[in-house]
Amino acid sequence: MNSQDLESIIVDAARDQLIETPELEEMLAHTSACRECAARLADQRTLTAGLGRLAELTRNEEAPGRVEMALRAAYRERILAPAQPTSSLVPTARRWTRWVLATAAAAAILAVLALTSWRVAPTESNKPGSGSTATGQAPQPAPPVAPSKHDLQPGPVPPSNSGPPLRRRNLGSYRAEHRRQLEPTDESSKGTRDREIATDFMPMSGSDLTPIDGGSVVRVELPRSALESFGLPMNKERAGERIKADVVVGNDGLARAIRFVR
Amino acid sequence: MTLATHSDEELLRLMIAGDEEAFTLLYKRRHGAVYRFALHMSGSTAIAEDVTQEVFIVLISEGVRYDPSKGSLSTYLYGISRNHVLRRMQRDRMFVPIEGDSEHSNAAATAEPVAEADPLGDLTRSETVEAVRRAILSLPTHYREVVVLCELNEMDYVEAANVLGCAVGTVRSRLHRGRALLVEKLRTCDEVRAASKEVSQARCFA
Repeated sequence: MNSQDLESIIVDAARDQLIETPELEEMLAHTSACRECAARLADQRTLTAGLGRLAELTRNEEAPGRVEMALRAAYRERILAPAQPTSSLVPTARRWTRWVLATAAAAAILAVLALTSWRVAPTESNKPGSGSTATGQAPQPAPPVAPSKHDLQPGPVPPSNSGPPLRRRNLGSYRAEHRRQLEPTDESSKGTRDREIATDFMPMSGSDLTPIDGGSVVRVELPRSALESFGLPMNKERAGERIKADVVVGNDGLARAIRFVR
Repeated sequence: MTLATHSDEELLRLMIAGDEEAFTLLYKRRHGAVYRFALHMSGSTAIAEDVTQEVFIVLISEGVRYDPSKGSLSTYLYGISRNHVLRRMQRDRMFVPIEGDSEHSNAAATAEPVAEADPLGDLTRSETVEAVRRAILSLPTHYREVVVLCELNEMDYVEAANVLGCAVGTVRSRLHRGRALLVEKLRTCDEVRAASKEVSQARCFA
């Protein structure tokens, strides 16, 4: 074996992969006679030791637990929504979340409106003496705590004839706390929104007034009659039209506040 | 028979069928190697985290495309990991060249070479393991990935060739060249360190 021959096996020799082979015997014979090759082999063996030490030190390095949590969430989402496109799970999840938030917000508003209308302007069946069902009687159609199909139709709301409008709460502190959070931040919509006129944000009926950690502002469309439900003036002739609104949806998915936009 | 005794391929099949426990077990079994590969290739824990996440998201969404006849699941995951690491590094231009240290370069240029009996002798000491890590990061990518796979992830030549999509001979020659470069870089490092030390001492006595 000469120096050139050794070059072809020096890495395997340094990595202890030539155990009990004829090449190993020849190599040892050569390196005992050639100081240069012996030094090169020693360098390679030292490098092997250094690499081994690095491998040993990093053997237990792992991704932090949050990666596993995120992946398990992504896995569940994938299983629950198998029709989603597969190429980009995270962006898809964001789009999906946005859509769900918008839908949830619209549903929550309509539910609140329906409930408010029912409380403020009781129907015939709720008026005293109108034959409303008594406790313990046979099951009757459920009270309108959720919006029925009829409630979702845009149209005039029965005139409110009892109780103060919901807007007459003391909202100053709530607005002050939330003003910064509620400002739209999307640069692309900034130009459009600069030309819009909006009311102050008003808390949703029954929503928690404590400051929220975070959430989203979702743009929805509602029947114009919704204005009246929040104590705002409304042109009765345009009651059937729709009006835009921004809804604050907390991270818990609950609609917290609303403002109307023109 | 518990899930722990299942092979990777069986766990993948269960995972695709909706068994979250199988997915969790597969992740626990394989994510460390993926993470360490990305870490050694990039030198960044943030990139390693991102790559690990991306690799398993691909497995969740496209695991049905895995073909056992083309290699083990481990090789498949390394292959995805490699693609993501290279893409990410290309995007971030993430390089850590030892030669780029101008202070050291100047010292090397002005100082007399210092003869050391065993310049690589202290490579196993913990403070110099960092020098090995940096030297690996300064290797050209095609040498670095072979060194990381074969030396740090203890993969044999055939597995590495499968991951890299090249011949076994190519892996051998790249490893040979990569190691030779590492020895050169570490020797240079050591000489520079010794030269800097001598210069400092000369200044002290001046």
